[in-house]
Amino acid sequence: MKKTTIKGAAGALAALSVAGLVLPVATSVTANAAAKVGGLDVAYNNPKKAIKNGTLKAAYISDTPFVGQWVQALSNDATSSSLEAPALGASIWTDKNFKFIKGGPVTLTVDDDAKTVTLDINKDYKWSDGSDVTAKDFEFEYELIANPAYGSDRYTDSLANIEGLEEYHEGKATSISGLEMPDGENGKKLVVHFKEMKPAMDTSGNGYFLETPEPYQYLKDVKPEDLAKDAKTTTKPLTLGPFKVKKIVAGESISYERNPYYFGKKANLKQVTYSIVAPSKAVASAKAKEYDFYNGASNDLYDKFKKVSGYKITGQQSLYFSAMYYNLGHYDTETSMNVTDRKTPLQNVKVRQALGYARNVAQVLKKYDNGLATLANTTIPPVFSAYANKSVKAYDYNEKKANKLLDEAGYKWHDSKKKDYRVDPETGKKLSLVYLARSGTAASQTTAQNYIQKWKAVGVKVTLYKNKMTDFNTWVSMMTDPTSDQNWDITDGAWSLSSDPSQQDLFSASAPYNFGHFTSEKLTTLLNNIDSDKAFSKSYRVKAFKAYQKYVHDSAFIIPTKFTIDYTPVNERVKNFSNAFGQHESWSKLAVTSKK
Amino acid sequence: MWKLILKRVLLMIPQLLLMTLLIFAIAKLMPGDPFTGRFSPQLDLSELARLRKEAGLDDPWYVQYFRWIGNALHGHFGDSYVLQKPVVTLMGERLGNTIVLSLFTTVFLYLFGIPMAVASAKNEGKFIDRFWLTFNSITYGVPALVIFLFVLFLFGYTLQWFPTSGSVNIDAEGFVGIWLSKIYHVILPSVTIAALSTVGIFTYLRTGLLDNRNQDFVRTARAKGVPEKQIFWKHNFRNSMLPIAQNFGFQIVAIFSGSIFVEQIFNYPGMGLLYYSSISTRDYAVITALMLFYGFLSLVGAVLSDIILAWVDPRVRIS
Repeated sequence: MKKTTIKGAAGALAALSVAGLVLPVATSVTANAAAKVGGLDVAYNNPKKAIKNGTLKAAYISDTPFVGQWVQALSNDATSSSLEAPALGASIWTDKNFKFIKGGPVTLTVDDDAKTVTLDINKDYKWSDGSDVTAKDFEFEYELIANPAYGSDRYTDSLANIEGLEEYHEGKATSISGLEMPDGENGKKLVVHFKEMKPAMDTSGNGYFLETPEPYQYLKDVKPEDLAKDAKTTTKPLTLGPFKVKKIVAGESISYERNPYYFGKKANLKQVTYSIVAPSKAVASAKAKEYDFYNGASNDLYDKFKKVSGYKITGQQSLYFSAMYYNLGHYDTETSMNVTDRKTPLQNVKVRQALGYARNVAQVLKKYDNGLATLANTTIPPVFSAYANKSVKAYDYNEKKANKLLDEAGYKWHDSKKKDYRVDPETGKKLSLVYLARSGTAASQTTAQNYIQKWKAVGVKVTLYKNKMTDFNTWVSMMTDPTSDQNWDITDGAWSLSSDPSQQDLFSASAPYNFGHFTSEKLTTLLNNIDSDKAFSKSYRVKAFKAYQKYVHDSAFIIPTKFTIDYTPVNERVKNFSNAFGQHESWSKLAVTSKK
Repeated sequence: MWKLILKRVLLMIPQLLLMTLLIFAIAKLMPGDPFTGRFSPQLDLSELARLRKEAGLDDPWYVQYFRWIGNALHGHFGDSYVLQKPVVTLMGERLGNTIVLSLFTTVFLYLFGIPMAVASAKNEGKFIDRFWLTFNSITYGVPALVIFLFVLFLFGYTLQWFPTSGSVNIDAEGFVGIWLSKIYHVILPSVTIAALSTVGIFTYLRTGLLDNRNQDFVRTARAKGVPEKQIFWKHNFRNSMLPIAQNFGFQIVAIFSGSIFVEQIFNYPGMGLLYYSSISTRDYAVITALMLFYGFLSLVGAVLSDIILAWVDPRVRIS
C-alpha cells in the first residue's frame, strides 16, 4: 500500500506520492533540451545570458489556499508540495527512470542478502540553520509516521515490512528494532532491516522505506499533538534545498532566499517568490507578465495560455492513467478480500470489451483535452518506457466490433430491423446498466451523455446513477464503504502513480481500491510476478509487467481511458527551466535573463 | 434603553441555539468528510478509519453536536482537519483581512453614498440628480460580477495600478510597510464594492431629504427665520439620516456576508475565501465555526440596528 493517488474532482484534494513526483518541478535544461512530449518541449532553452542575483516569481494555480505543512509525514496537500519545492531538495538523487544513484547528499545501498537498505549521509549535508543532518533525523521520520500520537496518516502495510515498525505502531515497542544507527544518533549511517526484500527497492517512491529526514533536534521538544500546528513545522521550518524560507503569508505565498548551507550548487537566483493564483485569474496574470511560470494549470486553460505572448509552453508526461471500471463483485470486510460474484451481464468478458469499443474516447479527448491527453492502451503510462507494453492495442472506437462482440455474447437485438435495444438471453429483459459518472469538470456531463449515446447505439441502455452526475465526495464514500449503495455497473477511476508502477494496490484480490472487485488466479499470479524474487532481474520484471498489461486488455475488467500530459507556461525571461525527470539541481540552476 | 438592549441580547440566545443546530445538521448532511480528500492507496483505509474515529466522526450526530456545543461554549472550536491549524488561529488570520476589507468598504460606501444623495436631493430634477439616479440604477441592475471582472481587468491587469490577488505583498517589510501594502491590496475591491452598493443609502437618504423638505418641523424652522443651510443640515439631513443609521448594522453584516463572493473574485484571503474552501474540503470544524460566526454577526447586526435606532430616535425607546 504505497504508490498511487486518486485524482479527485478538485486537484487540491489529491494527496502526494511519496516521491513528490505528481507535479512537474523545474529541472535542468541540459539533459533533455531537445526532448518533446505531445508536441511540447520538455525544457525551455533560453539562449540569453542570465543576470546575476535575479528574482523569480512562480505561481501555482489553485482556488484553495495552501496548507504549508513542512513535515512530510504530516503533509497531504499537493499544492503545498509544489510551493515548498524550492526548499525541498532530494536527499537521495535519482536518474530519469527514478532509480537511485550515487553522488547526492545521501548514498543508498541495497543489500538483498542481508535484507537491508543502508543510508550513508554525506558529512556536508546540513539543515538550513547549519546543523548536521544525522541518522536520527532519518529515523525520526519513521517515528512521526508510525507513532499515532503525531496524527500522521502515512503508515502503510508496505512500511510494516520494516522489522519492528508494526510493533512500534501498535505500541508494543518503544523503539523501532529494524532501524539501526551503527554510529549513534548523531552518526551518519542508518541501516533499515526488512522482513523481505522487494524488486522496487532501488526505485524512488517505492513506499517500502522513507527517503526524507526531519530535523529531530529542532522538533524534539514539540508535543506530538501540537507538531502539525507548531510554527517550527508551518512558518519557520528547517529545510535542505537550495533555498530557505524567508517569509510566509499563510495560504497565499512563500518568499525564499538562498540557503547558504545547501549541499549542492549555489542557487543562481537570489530570491524566489511562489504564490497561489486563482484559476480564473491565471491567464490574465500571465498577460500582465506577473509570474515566471505556472504550475498546476488545468487542460481547459491550455488554449488561452498558448495565445499569451512572452511565454513558452513546456510539458511532461504525467504519471497518470484513467480507466473505466466495471462493478463485478464486492469487498468482503471479514476476509479483506474482493469477491467477483455480482450477478451482472458484465461478467461476460465480451460485454465488457464491447462497452469499451463502443466508447469514442479519442474523439472526446480531441475535443476537450486540447491535445494534452492520449487514448490509453494499458494502465502503465508511457513515461515508464521500459515497462509499458506498446504492443497492446487500446479500446478504440469501433461500433462494428462492439456489435459483433455483443452478438457473440448472446445479447441479440430486441428488434433486429429497428435495432432498438438488446435483450439479456437469460432473463429476456432489456440489457440495461447504471453509470456512476463523476462530476467535476465542465465537460464531465457532456462526456458521460456522449458515452451513453454511444452505448445506446450498440443496443445497451445505460442510465446515470440516480439520473445525475455524482460528486467526488459521494463517489469516494461509495467506493470505500462496502456497506454503501453498490448498485452501479460502470464508473471511472483515475490515478496518479508513484515512480514504481507496480499495481498490487489497485487491482490485487485484497486491495480495497480494487473498485471493480475483479479477481482471478491469473491476475494474482501476474501481479505477484511483478514483485516476486525473480523480478530482481530487470528483464524478468519487464516481461512480467508486459504480461500483466496484456491480461488487463484481454480480460477487460477495466478499460484504460487516457494518459495525460502536464504543461507549464514559462516566461521567456526564464533560463534553465525543464520538466525532465531525474534532475537534482533544478532550482539551483534556474535563472532569469532580465530584471522584468 | 438598557432594558431594550438586554431584551434583544437575551432573545439572541435561543436564536443562536437553533441556528447552531441547523448549522450542524447542514454540515453533516453534505456527502463526504474531511478525510475523504485523503483517499489514496498510498494510505491504508484502516489508518483513515483510525483518524476518523479519533476525530469523533464515527459518533452519532447528536453526540457530535453536544460535544461541539460544549467546546464552543468554552471557546474551543477545534483544529482544521485540512489546514492543520486551530480554527481560532485560522479565523484570526483571515478575520483581520476581512475586517480591513469591510472597514474600507464601509467608509467608501458612506463616503460615496451620502454626498451623492445630498447632491441629488439639492438638485432635484436637474442633470446632476438624473446622473446619480441613472448611476444607481445601473449599479443596481448590472450583475456585480461583470463590474468586478471589468475593474480587475482594467485597473489590475491592464493598467496594473492595483494588485489583483492576495492581502499583502510578501516583500513588504516593517509595520508601516506591511499595513500600507495591506491597504493597497483592499483599495480596488473596497472601492468597487462601495461604488456598486450605494443604491440603498442613496435612495433612503435622497427620498428622506426630499420628503422632509415639506415636513412641519422644516416649515416651522423656516418660519422662525432659521437660515436655509442650517435647516438643511441640522433639521432635514439629521432626520433623513435615521433610516441610514438604522440600516448601519445590517449594512455591516451585508458587507461581511458579501465577502464570501467578493473575496472569491478578488482572490482576497479573508473569511469568505476560507469559508468557500472549507466547504469544498468538508472541513467541518471550520465550516461550523464560520457559519456560527456569520450567524452571530447577523444577529448582532440586527441588535445593533435596533440599538442605534433607539439611540437616535427617542420615540422607539418610549414605545
